[in-house]
Amino acid sequence: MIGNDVVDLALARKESNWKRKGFLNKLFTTVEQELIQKAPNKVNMVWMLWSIKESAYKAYQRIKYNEGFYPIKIEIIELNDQNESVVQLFGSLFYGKTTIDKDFIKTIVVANQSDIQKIQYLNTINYTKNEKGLPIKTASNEPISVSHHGRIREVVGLY
Amino acid sequence: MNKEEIIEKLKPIVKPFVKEEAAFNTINEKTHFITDLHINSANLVDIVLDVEEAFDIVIDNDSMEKMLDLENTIAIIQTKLAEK
Repeated sequence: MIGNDVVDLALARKESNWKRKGFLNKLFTTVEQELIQKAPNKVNMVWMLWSIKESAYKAYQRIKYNEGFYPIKIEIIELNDQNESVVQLFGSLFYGKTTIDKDFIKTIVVANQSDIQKIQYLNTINYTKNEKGLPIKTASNEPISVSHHGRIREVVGLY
Repeated sequence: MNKEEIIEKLKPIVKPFVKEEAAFNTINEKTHFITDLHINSANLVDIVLDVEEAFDIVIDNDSMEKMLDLENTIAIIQTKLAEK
């Protein structure tokens, strides 16, 4: 299972004020909020943690569909200095990798750690949606993950 | 507060985050924030915080979980207002 999320930092700056009262409390656990406070670049940390949670949420929907807005339940339990993460949601673990540059933050998570080697970047036109609205490959119906924000759109699957 | 009054009060809260104007123009109880209005999930928290402020209520995490459409949002607001 795979999930991804992309953040266009210029658009995030325009659309969200992460410093508003209550914002961090509703989205992040105490441990995650400490990571943000300690980070040299707090903005990037906010959006990295958010993109990890979004990716894990999307991957989880393929294991057991459970639509909802429950960011606190998606817990980032490990994050190293290569921006590799371990996330837990409803007892399932996901393994993430985030890349950050000056414009974008991109995360992909997989349910099986070995699947990190099998990530495939796909053409954005060759997908459709299943009955639950989740993206699948047009030809094979295999689950894929799509994320679009501002200037970027990314479609990923597994070989 | 009845459903119609709550919807009227929710419109200006939701509007700044809407990416699908046509769906906003026909907003009703069945409208879904993400699939209909194409609101970015990162902005759901802004809607929750704005609702708390506008109705002077506190939305706990269990309630927030269901705030993906108008119907659930209205029900949560009514419950929280009744508890006041």
